[in-house]
Parts: sequence; structure tokens; C-alpha cells
Amino acid sequence: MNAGPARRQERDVDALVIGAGAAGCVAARRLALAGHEVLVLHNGTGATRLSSGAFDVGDDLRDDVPGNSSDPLSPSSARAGMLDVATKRLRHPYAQLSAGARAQMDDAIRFFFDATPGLSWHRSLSLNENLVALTQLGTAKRTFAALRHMAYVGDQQRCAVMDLRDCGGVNAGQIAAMLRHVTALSARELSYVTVPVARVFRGPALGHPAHMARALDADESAQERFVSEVETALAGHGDVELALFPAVFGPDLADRLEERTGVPCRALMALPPSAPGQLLVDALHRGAKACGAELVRAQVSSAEVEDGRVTRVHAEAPGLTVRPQVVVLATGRFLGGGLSRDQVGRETVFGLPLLAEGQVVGDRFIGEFTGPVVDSEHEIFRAGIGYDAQLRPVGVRGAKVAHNLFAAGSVLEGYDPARDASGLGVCALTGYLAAGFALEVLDAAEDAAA
Amino acid sequence: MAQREHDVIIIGGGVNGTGIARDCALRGLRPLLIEKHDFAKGASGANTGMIHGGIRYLRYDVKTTKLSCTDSGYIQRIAPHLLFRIPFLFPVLEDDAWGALLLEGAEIFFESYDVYQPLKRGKPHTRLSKKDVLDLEPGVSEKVIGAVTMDEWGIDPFRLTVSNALDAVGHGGAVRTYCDVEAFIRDGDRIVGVRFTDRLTGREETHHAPLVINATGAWGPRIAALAGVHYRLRPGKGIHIVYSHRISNYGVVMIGVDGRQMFMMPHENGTIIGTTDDDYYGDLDNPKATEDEVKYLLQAARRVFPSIDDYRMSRTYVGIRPTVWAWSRNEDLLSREHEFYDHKNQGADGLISVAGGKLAAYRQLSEEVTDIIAQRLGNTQPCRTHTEPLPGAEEAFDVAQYADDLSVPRLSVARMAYRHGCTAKDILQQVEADPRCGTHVCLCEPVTEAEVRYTCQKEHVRRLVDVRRRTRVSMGACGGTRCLHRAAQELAAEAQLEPVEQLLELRDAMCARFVGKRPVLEGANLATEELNQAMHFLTGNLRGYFKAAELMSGRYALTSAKSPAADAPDGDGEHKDPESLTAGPKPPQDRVQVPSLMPEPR
Ligand SMILES: Cc1cc2nc3c(=O)[nH]c(=O)nc-3n(C[C@H](O)[C@H](O)[C@H](O)COP(=O)(O)OP(=O)(O)OC[C@H]3O[C@@H](n4cnc5c(N)ncnc54)[C@H](O)[C@@H]3O)c2cc1C
Ligand SMILES: Cc1cc2nc3c(=O)[nH]c(=O)nc-3n(C[C@H](O)[C@H](O)[C@H](O)COP(=O)(O)OP(=O)(O)OC[C@H]3O[C@@H](n4cnc5c(N)ncnc54)[C@H](O)[C@@H]3O)c2cc1C
Repeated sequence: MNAGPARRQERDVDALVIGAGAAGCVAARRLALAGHEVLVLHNGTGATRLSSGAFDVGDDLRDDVPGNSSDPLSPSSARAGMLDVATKRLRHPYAQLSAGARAQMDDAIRFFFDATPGLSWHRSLSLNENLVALTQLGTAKRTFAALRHMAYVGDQQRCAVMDLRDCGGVNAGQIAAMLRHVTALSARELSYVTVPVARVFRGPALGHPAHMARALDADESAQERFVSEVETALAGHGDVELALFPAVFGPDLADRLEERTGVPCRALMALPPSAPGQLLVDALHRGAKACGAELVRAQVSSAEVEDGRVTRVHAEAPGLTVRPQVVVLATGRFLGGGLSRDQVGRETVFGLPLLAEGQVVGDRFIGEFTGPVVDSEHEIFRAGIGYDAQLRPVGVRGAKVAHNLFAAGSVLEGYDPARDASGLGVCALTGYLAAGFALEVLDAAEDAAA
Repeated sequence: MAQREHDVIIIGGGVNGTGIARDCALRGLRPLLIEKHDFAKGASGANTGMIHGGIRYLRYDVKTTKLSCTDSGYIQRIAPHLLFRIPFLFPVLEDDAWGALLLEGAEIFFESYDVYQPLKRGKPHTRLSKKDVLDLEPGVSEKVIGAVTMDEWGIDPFRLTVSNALDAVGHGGAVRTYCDVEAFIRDGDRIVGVRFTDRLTGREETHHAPLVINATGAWGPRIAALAGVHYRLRPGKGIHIVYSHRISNYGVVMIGVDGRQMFMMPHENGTIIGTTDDDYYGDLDNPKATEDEVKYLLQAARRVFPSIDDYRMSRTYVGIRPTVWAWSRNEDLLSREHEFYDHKNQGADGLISVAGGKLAAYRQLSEEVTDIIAQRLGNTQPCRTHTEPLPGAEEAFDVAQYADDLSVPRLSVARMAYRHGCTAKDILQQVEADPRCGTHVCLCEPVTEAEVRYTCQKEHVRRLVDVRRRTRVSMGACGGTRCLHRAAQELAAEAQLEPVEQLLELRDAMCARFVGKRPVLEGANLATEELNQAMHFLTGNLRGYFKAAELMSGRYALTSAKSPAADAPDGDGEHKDPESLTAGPKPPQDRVQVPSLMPEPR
């Protein structure tokens, strides 16, 4: 197919964003909206695609004892959560950023929701309230916002877990049992029943909700059969006020289901491979492109820094060298590909040191960066690159690497989305801020040129 | 007169204990087997999984080699579905201590081994040139000057052990897992029974038999001490590193910095490298791989297979060899790898300890022990363990036909049939009844929901970690990320677990997996663990629910008392082996009734 030696293309751009997850897309959109030429390079993977359909900003870092001090079914405040994180986790971006920067969270969140065109979110009107989402593991979790068709606790009392005969990979009975247990731990009483839905597809059962989502997506007539089977099933359970499904449908089909059955039909927070995560990434890409950013799939391999300035960034497949004015590094963590640890820990594009709790990970035994049990704190999952108050990556001694390089999202050191309840919120904030700082550099360059 | 509920009590559910129980049952005796954790939780589940023919005894004892090869042949006869052939390369590198001379020596050595190969359906050795080696196994170092091949067999040691236990039960024996023997019952100088606690229900029981066999491997001397008697072992710790995929076509012999021989070999769907051998006097229930051990293995593997670092490690596992204390000075005992100690002269008549042994020789050892038992009890039935098929080996099984009829992928059915032999038919019946059972709980292996259900119903599963040992759920590349919660749900459905119990099962299984992963969280394995953490603790928000479940079950108090902070770094606050948690004191609050962790075995 590929005859001849691959030719390297060279390009000048105003802004290069490396990574098209939540952080990269937010940054790209803001830079593009300001009228700059923006190129986004990404390799198609990343944590955003795997996320569950919820958007966390902050939650009080309770010692996580449901039914005790803090009831997971009672909403908390995202703003208080941010403060809690900032005071308890001193290396967390919320703590490292200035209070002024942190105060831009309201703007950043508004920006984030605008950056996902075509998706609608269920969220509180202010940062003062988190909602309670229900997950496919049968648990509840507090979060700031959820895709509108996802399951969260509203004022319904009587809930049904829909048992889709087509869909392997879930055990509706056990999810309902776990939800009953979780609810019993709470002050808020909800009841759960299991409702079987007859098969819609012929052939072997589908192995995972994401498979069924794909199959439904591809087949209009199956959608219709699905809707009418759900209708029949719910007709036999007239008292059900909320129907919960594994994440096999998007917002449109959810609307159709509700229209036909008269019962709100929602998807439980998904486990990867996650159909809602895919929806989110697709929307973020649309949002960046709509403002003129160009997204290109390529593997970024290295970069050149001269006199405190990133001058060139190299990518492979396709071979491409970019000469940017500013760069936003939003390559994520180990899942995204921004960080790696293969006997030696490092950031993958600039070769920056990987820090955990401020210490260089280097080639030290990985066991030193992990806790003894699976759910303890693991330093390696708070690892990332060091950065200054302008979100500029710094080397070991704290000096910035380049004045036109900024970082955003989960590549930053100091936070663990699985323990700080602030995953996409940090991406939205730092993506927004990094673009803002980059704009200052671009503006200064324009002024100088003028 | 002492009561006689059982003819013989066997303590220890490793390959030897279950092998002895099976032999006893086949001879019409009524054995009771008591295991503190689960079958093959000890050395029997943490070895190299090789049914080798005892090539290393060739240097001093031809008889043992012959015996080992014969026995290896027997195991192939009684459990053909469990065995897989592993052709080995013994490559010689230009910087090996003896270089070309070593190659000649190896050839002569393997020539003498060839004589015994037919006994175990093995092929004779061949000599390979540098080019041959690199053609066959391109990953071997360019420094290779030639190689000799040898032929060995691998086995799933968990299935081997469980199959023996199942067959013992099938022939009238009784087995009890998660029962910890705590004391012996005496009648003067005689041992007449044991007292144990069911660790999941907390209930204490006493059982009687005229003979008690201590087959607890490395734990043996501790059990003996309960009877006030003693013998010595020299426990040797060995670790392996598991890679998530096949790396090489052949097993490759590798040499450590200290000159020790080790292996890199295909095993099941992956590759393992190992093993180390160090004296070990630490916690037998909770051994861990250390930095030094991991580095030692990687260094040896790199030397002969330089690209090893490009492959994905998925975990480590650790076992303690119950090595006999010292070679006896007596010449003809020199190469015996097992010993029996009759404690009669120490004042414990009726107690016999079994020391040492090999996976490959378990059947032979079991026969020898059962001969003694039979003689003591006046039983004259002949041993049949070398001719009677183990469960699943009774007849052939047509993978393709079943797979196509039921629309289950052939690979899934093939792996099921590998583990269960013709019993796979019974499992697939469930798929016929409910097609959803044919979908996968574990994609790495793969394992269907039907198999998980079957194992919960029929294979003496009491905990989620048992499902892992029976089916290999969570042993693949994902390390339990995708499958453990699903398996927990199925176990909960089958065993009617309360949600609290299900949460505890999931947590303990995740913890058990984490212990193995922790020393090798590098590269893609680290990314997978990030996903594992996100899925369970971010999306699933399980940390809080785990803690709450521990609180409610009363177990939390126990763990936290023993280890002040589970989050504390290694050292003082050492976490207990997640699989060895015992029932704790009463719950602090009675919000949720937590009955026995699991139903009693029938
Ligand atoms: C299973 C799961 C569930 C989650 N659930 C939630 C949730 O409910 N709520 C919440 O708030 N958060 C959740 N998170 C966390 C959240 O998804 C992440 O924190 C967030 O998505 C990180 O975004 P990011 O932009 O920093 O990185 P990523 O999304 O990982 O994006 C990294 C980007 O960089 C690109 N890249 C990396 N290296 C290169 C290279 N060399 N060349 C080219 N491109 C490169 C990748 O292609 C990708 O586009 C979840 C995460 C996971 C894994
Ligand atoms: C690293 C390593 C590699 C090996 N490689 C091979 C190989 O390739 N080929 C080969 O043939 N052999 C190999 N072996 C040897 C082989 O695995 C062992 O010799 C064999 O498994 C011993 O079986 P066992 O039943 O005697 O002991 P174990 O399997 O250790 O069983 C003892 C059991 O006793 C139980 N127990 C302890 N205390 C109590 C109590 N109080 N009450 C009730 N039960 C109790 C334990 O839980 C345990 O399950 C290897 C061993 C190791 C460690």
C-alpha cells in the first residue's frame, strides 16, 4: 500500500494541542475561539473515552463510610468538595493553582458544557450541589453532572432494573440487589424490582452493553422492536416510576422510550467499554472542530526545545513535524499514553521526569509507589509532571521547561480521579486555564510583531 | 474406644493431600480432607506447572528418573485433557561459562534422558545449529551458538488438584475447605482425631479417625507441633513472573547470574518465567515477590531473550517448596524428593507426616502413603489411581461440534474443555437453556458465565478466589479488571450471598490479585491497573462500600486491629493475606444481619 519512503510533512501553526481527551479538547476549543489556527494531534485512545457518563468536580473527602458519617445518597456540594480537596491534598491542582484561578471553575464548567455540542447534561444550577448517580455495579456515586439520559436519583421512589435478555455482561438481579442494599444504607428509601425484557435480536446473546448499544445504533428496526419490548415489559409493572438499563442507548432512544412508556428510562453509569464515554469524546471532538480546530490522528514521538521555547514537535504515522507558537500538552496518564513507566517512569513526549508526591519516580521499585491493598492510596496513580502556577511544566529543580509550553488534564501531578472525585472537573478547569495562559503568549507575540 | 467417623483424616488440600484422599476413596476407604484455605492455595498452585520426568536426578539416580517418567505417563493417561506439550530449547550462548563444551555435554546428557522419553510420550532430543535456533525462536539472543531440545509436559496445577478432590468426593470421601486444623484429639499416646474451625462460619468441629495424615507441605512442621512432635523442612521460596501472552514458541532454558537454571515457557494462554529458590522462614500464608527476585528473573530472561522487556508482565506468584531438610547421607536415599515421618516413636501414634514431593510425582507419593494407610487399616484393595480417569477424562469431547451448535466461540469451548474435559457437556447444557450463559465473564481466558456458574454449583467453591483457581477468571491480561465483579455477581446468585458478602468477596479477590500485580506494575500493566482503579473506585465508588461492608461484617475491626492502617506503607502495618481473613468479632452495630459467609458444603 505505502510505496516509497514516507515523506515528512512540516507545518507551522499558532497552537498545537497534543491529546484530544477532555483537557485537550477544551483547550483547543478556547484557543480556536480566540481566532488562532489550532492543530490537535491525538492517537485515538485515552481515559475520557472510558469514562462513565458523569462529570465530577469535587466532593467532600469523607472517609467513605456510607450509612455512617456521610450518606452517598444525599447530595453534597461540589464547591465545598473543591475546597476540601484543596486543603487535604496539597499537591492536587486545586491546591496548586491560585485561588483566582480556582475561582474560574464556574466559567470553565460553562465552557465545558458548551464544548460538548449535541449532548445535554443533567446538572445542578450552581456548584453548590452534587447529584447522586447510580452505577452498573449497583452502587451510588455523587457527581456534579451526568449525561441527561444517565441514571441519577430524582424524586422517583419505585425503580426497576431492566433485565435485557439479549445483553450478557450484566446480572440485573444482582444489580437490583446491590441497589437495594445501597439504598437501605441511606436515609432515602428507594425500592428496586427486576423487569425482564424479551429478546430483540436473533442469534447469540451480545456480550456487553456496549455491544448492544452498537447493535441498536446500527439497526432502526431493532430500535423499534426494543422500544416495544420495553413497553410490553413495563406495562406489566404499572407502578414503576424509573426504569434503569445498562448503558445500551443514547439520549435520543432514551427519549423515545420515555415517550412510549411514560416512564423515565435511564442508563446506569457505564463500565468500560463505555458507550457514554464514546458519546462524550465524539461530542468534545465536534466541539473543537466546530470552532475551527483541526484534529489529526498521529502518534507524537518527540519534541525539540531551544532557548526555553518548544520549536518543533514530531509525530509519526503520518510523519509530521509541527512548528508551533504555543503547545498544550494534554496527553493524559498511563491510559492516555502521556505517562509511561517501563522500569523507568517518564512523560512520553518531552521526556519530563515523572513525579509522585513530589519525588522522582525514575527507576525505583514500583512497589514503593503502591499501597499494600488494592483500595489503599497509590502514589503512582497521583503521579504526573510538575508544573508552575501558569500550568507550565517544570523540571526536577522547578524551572520551567519552555515559556510556550503548558499542560492540562490528567498528565498533571497530584490528583487521582478515583480518590479525589474530581476527574473531568480538573480537566475542564486546567484545559480552560492552560488555553488562557497560552493565549497570553500568543497575544504578546502578536503585539511584539505589530 | 475412639469414635470412627472417617477411616483417615488428611490435613492439607494440595496436590498431595487431594491425591492421597482420592487414592483412599478409590480403595473403598472413607477419607476426610481438611484444607485451611482452598485446594491448591499452597505450593500446588504456585509452581512451574511442569510434569517433568525428573531429568535432574539422572546425574545420580536412574531409578528415580525412570519412575518419574513412568508416573508422568500415568498422569497423561488419567487426565489427558489437562496436559499440554512444551518442547524446550537449551540454548548455549557464546559467553556461557563452558561455551561449545557445554553444548557437547548437554547433548550427551540429553541422550541418556531420551531412553526414558517414550515412557511419557516424549520425543528424543535433537541438536540445533545457531541458524536452526534463530529460525525456530527468533527472539533468542544473537549470541547463541547452538542448542539441544528436550520435550516436557505442562499442566494446570489447580485443575489437577481440584480434580483429585472431586474424584475423592465422587468415591465417598469428604472434603472441607476453609477449615483450619488447630489441635489433635488424643487418646493417650494415640492421635484419634482433629479439631478445626470453619473459618467462614466460625464454627468449631471435632472429627475422629484412627489415622491422621499431615500433608500440609511447608506448613507441615507447624501441624506436627500441634501434636507435640517434630520434623524439619527447608522451605524454599520460589517466584514466577507471568506475561499476559505467548512470547515464545518453545520453552527456553535460561541461566541466572549465579548459574542457576530457570525456564521461560508458554503456560496456558500466557508465558511464565521462573523460578527462584531461596530459604524462606517468613509468613507462609502471605509470601510476596520482592524487588530483588523480580530483577533476578528479568536479568536471566534478558540474557537469553533480549526482547523480553517489550512484553507485558501481568503478575507474579509465589510458592514455598516443602523441601526435605537435607539430603540424607544414606546413598540410596540421596535423590528421594519425599520422606514420610511416622510420629509413633515421638508419642503420637497414628500421625504420619508427608514431606517434600513434586507435582509430577504426586500420584506416586499418594500411592506410597495410601499403601501405608491401607496396611494399617487392613485394607487390601489395589491402587487404581494410575488407571482410573480423573473427572472429565472419561471420554472424548468434540469442541467444534458443541461450539457451532450453541454459537459459542470455539476458543471458549476449547478452553472450557481443556479445564473440564468431557464435563464441558454439562456446562454447555446451561447455555442451551439460557443463551446468555454463553457470553463471557472473562474475555482474557476466555471463561463463559455458564462455566462460572457450574464451578460455583459443583466444584466446592466457597469464595470468589476459588472461582479464580477453578476457571482462571482474572488470571489473564486484565488482572480481574473486567471479570471479577461479574464473577462475584454470579457467585452471589448461585450461593445466595447477601450484597455485603458479595462486596467482601469482590474486595478480597481484588486484593489477592493486587498482591501479585504489585511488583510488576510496569508498562501496559500499569495502564490496566489505572483502568481497574477507575472502574471500581471511580465509576463504581466501591471504596466506601467495601469499608462499610467490612464494618458491618465485623471483619473490619479484625483487620484494622492487626494492621493499624491498611494504607500504611509496607512494613509494620503489613496487611493480612486477603484470603486468610477469619470471621471477626461481632459487628459493632446490627444494621445488617450478616449470616455465615457462605452456605455449608453439602
Ligand atoms: C473507567 C473510567 C471511568 C471514569 N469515570 C469518570 C467519572 O465518572 N467522572 C469523572 O469526572 N471522571 C471520570 N474518569 C476520569 C476522567 O475520564 C479522566 O480524568 C479524564 O478523562 C482525563 O482526560 P485527559 O484529557 O487528561 O486525558 P485522556 O482522556 O486520557 O486523553 C489523552 C489524550 O492524549 C492523546 N495522546 C497521549 N499520548 C499521545 C501521543 N504520544 N501522541 C498522540 N496523542 C497522544 C490520546 O490520544 C488522548 O487523546 C474516569 C476514567 C476512567 C478510566
Ligand atoms: C516455585 C515452585 C515451583 C515448582 N515447580 C514444580 C514443577 O514444575 N514440577 C513439579 O513437579 N513440582 C514443582 N514444585 C513442587 C510442587 O509444587 C510441590 O512439591 C507440591 O505442590 C507440594 O504439594 P503439597 O500438597 O505437599 O503442598 P501444598 O500444595 O503446599 O499444600 C499444603 C496445604 O496444606 C494447607 N494447610 C496448611 N496448614 C493447614 C492447617 N492448619 N489445616 C488445614 N490445612 C492446612 C495449606 O493451605 C496448603 O493448601 C514447585 C514448587 C514451587 C514452590
